[in-house]
Amino acid sequence: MIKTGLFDSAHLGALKKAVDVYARRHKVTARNIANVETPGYRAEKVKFEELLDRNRMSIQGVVTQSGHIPIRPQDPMDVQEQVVETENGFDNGVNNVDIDDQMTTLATTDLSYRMATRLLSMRYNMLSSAIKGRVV
Amino acid sequence: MSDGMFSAIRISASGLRGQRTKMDVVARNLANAETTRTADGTPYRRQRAIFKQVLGDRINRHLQAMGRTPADFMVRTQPGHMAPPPLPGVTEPGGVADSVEVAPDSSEFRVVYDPGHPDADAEGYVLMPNVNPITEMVDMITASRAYEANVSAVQAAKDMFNDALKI
Amino acid sequence: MTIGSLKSLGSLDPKAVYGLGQKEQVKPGFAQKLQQAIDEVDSLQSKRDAMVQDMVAGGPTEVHDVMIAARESQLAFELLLETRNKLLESYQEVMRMQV
Repeated sequence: MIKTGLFDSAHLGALKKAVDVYARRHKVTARNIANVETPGYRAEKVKFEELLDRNRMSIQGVVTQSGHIPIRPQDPMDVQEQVVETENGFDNGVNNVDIDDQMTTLATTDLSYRMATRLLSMRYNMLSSAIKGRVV
Repeated sequence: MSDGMFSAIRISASGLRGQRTKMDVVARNLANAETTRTADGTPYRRQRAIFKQVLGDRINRHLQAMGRTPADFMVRTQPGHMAPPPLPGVTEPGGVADSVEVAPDSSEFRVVYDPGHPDADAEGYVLMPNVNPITEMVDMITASRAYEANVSAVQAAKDMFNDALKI
Repeated sequence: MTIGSLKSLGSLDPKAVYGLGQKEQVKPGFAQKLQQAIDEVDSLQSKRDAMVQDMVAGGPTEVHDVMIAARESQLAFELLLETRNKLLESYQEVMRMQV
């Protein structure tokens, strides 16, 4: 994703990152489904939410001595998602792709993407309204 | 294939083609389950759809695991030469569908005692195709389900594309 | 009123009182800011164009990347436009002032 500086405030940046992750997750899921019968294929998944530390995301660091740098809250935009092999021990007869699980992921990812894009759109509309001084 | 506007849809399209091939094979097997004499005089031999993991995909995965790309191994004889394209993998052109091989099933023909059959031999035995309708039905159901799953993936990709347009 | 406070009056700078010196400092700084904003809008629009090209040519850019870039460059442009309008308004208002 591209960082544009002016538009990287906390919420906007997190939403942009989310959209990126969901799009990637869809592709990985689609690939798993396409290869449900390919011998030797190993199912993959996109790891992201687990890499976020919810405790770290909203802390305000307290500086006890001058010259110390306060802890910065974790910025979702800086967390790199990973495509990893699914360790599920599942066997569909050919490989470890669990088609039902993949269908579920497909649906949830689709909905998450819709929500994130909708929220982004709303945020941009708000900014536009603020700029123009009237509701857009 | 993993790049571009419709990369997500192309991945699923490859899966659709693969399952479609499999369903065609099953249909042919079922249609010829009783064909005792084909053009060359022998009974119909069952066919199987074999999904192969494309060699390129294995190489890509190994490279990925090592943190390298095919470009690292290219000998540049002149500056300005382009890096090689990624090797075809299971979701590249030459992916799942193109790597679905239709091959004959080498198991034995069924021997059935039926003296009245036009193709019976001197002792009254007929060689029947090595097609088991039950196996074929199971394959058909599996392929059909997998096909539908790929269709869902295409639909989701379309929805997501449209959602993005509304940003 | 004591003599001491009269002395402190003498340290007042008439320029500072009427804000004349400040205006001279503000103008070049503001022009800079404006130029910066124009450059940023320009850069955002170029980025967006590059992304559209890349996506259409089969590169790794996704559709949401392009839409986001389009929206943000649009917003930056709107901001510039509104700023220009407000500046114009202020200028016109100042010109209308009876001296």
